[in-house]
Amino acid sequence: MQPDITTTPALEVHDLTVAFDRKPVLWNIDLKLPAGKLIGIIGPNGAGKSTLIKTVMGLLPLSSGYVRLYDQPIDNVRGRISYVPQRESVDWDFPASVMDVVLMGRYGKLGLFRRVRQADRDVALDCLRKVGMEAYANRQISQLSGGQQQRTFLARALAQQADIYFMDEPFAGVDAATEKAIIGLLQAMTEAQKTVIVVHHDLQSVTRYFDWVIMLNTRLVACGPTETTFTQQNLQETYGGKLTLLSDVGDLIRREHFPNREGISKPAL
Amino acid sequence: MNDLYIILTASLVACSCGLLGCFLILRKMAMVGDAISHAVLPGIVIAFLLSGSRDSLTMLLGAGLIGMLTTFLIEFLHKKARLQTDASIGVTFTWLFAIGVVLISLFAGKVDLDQDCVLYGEIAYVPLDMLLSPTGLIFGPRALYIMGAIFTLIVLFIAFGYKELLLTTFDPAFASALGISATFWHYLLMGAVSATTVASFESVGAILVVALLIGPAATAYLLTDNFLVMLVLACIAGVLVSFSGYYVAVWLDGSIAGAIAGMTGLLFALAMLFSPTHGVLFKKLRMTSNEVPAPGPTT
Repeated sequence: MQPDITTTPALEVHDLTVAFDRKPVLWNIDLKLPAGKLIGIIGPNGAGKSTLIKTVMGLLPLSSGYVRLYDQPIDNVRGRISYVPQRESVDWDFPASVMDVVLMGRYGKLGLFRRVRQADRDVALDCLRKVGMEAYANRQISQLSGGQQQRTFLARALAQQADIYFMDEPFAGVDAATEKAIIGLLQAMTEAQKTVIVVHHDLQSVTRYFDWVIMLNTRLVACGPTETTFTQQNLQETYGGKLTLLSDVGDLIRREHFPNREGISKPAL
Repeated sequence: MNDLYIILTASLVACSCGLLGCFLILRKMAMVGDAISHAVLPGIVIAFLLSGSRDSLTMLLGAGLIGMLTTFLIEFLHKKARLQTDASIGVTFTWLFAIGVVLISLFAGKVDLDQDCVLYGEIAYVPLDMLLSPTGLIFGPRALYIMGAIFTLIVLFIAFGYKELLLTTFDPAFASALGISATFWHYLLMGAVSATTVASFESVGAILVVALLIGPAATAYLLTDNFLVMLVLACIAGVLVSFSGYYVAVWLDGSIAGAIAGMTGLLFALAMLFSPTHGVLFKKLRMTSNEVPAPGPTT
């Protein structure tokens, strides 16, 4: 029987510690995330945000603890997870078209020795349409702007047709229009019971974008629904010591305490 | 007939190297090819000393193993000793190469190998080493068969592993997230580079293998924006330099391998100047045609 997706946590991390050269980058992380939510990971630079999602996906070795996705070890559910790495992590001068890159999202489903078929091309084109890039399918990737590169990566992740998505700073260096389009898309995905976990930098947009937040600074400061978790006290604990930032955070809380939600409409995608 | 044998062997070496070179330069590992081609020297010598024969298969095995060891050492020094990649490449291959040189000089009397042969090779001798049947029938040069086999293997390797090789080259982290091991394909590719380097060293020599690993692939990179086309172009460039290199060598009465490498450089220079996409000339032309007429002095 298929376990009920609403009661099984999408992601469970237990007692996770990750260390490079014996220096802990993540320390004793315990958390459970519900399915079908848009979840932000926030924290100062070097807090281990990217490390957390890389470790969860099994890209980095963990020093202790375990990670379970849909109550299973990662290798059993590879087909259900998707990853959007940081945009700068690849060489955009690579001789490939936008379509080539999006098709890479299908490779996991295809398995060894099998070639890309027309059905995969159709899925890829459909995903490009969702991110508004279908006109660029045959464009050389070196000719894309930052926002278009990010949309291409997003389309590649969509082409995986996964249930849980890990995104490493998808809003870094993209224009406002792209950010709005992406967030609309992510919200539509969570309505379809997909779980989306996003490493995020901009504190101002947290309350508008995310249902849940993970506040991280080597240790887990807090994890829960945004309304109850994104508090001044937790923010101070997360960013504590960074004095210049602290006053900004104070301002932010005053401004964002009663967020105006009327202005947000979901773009049709 | 001898001309044809030499050109054909050179073309096979150039195509094998060109195909692998495409992956190497896109992985920013061109110098790993350089390192492997030098570091396999002790492998060749040790395999020869242990087996006592210059049988190609033994040498291929010995050198293949050392080739993998080289890759492993480079990774190890980079990751564990926190040395920069270029520094760890430099340390690893000079050290292994030096061991090879010492071994050759120690056993100089017993070994039918010398530095000249390993470093410079001599492709003109290809037609001298014929494969004979027990009844004395001549099948053609041994090197031609070996390179033919290597080339076939590499084409099959790339044809079957195309998706995985492409993805682990473009985005290794994403590949790992899909469950495609970037490390596994890295070592497979390095194994292929080792095997090719060793199989080619007798004909073109260790140093010139590097020219063929990088030259045709770099030329192809400048000429296209499509990876599949880049692989094909690298092969075409390989065949071109083999033909032209051979005839230049005949005309000058000089070293064939040297002329081939020279032509590789020339072809690259031509691509750099005249490539329609990346060429210096066209970029300049495009820049001047896009130039907005300078505004007159504002008074």
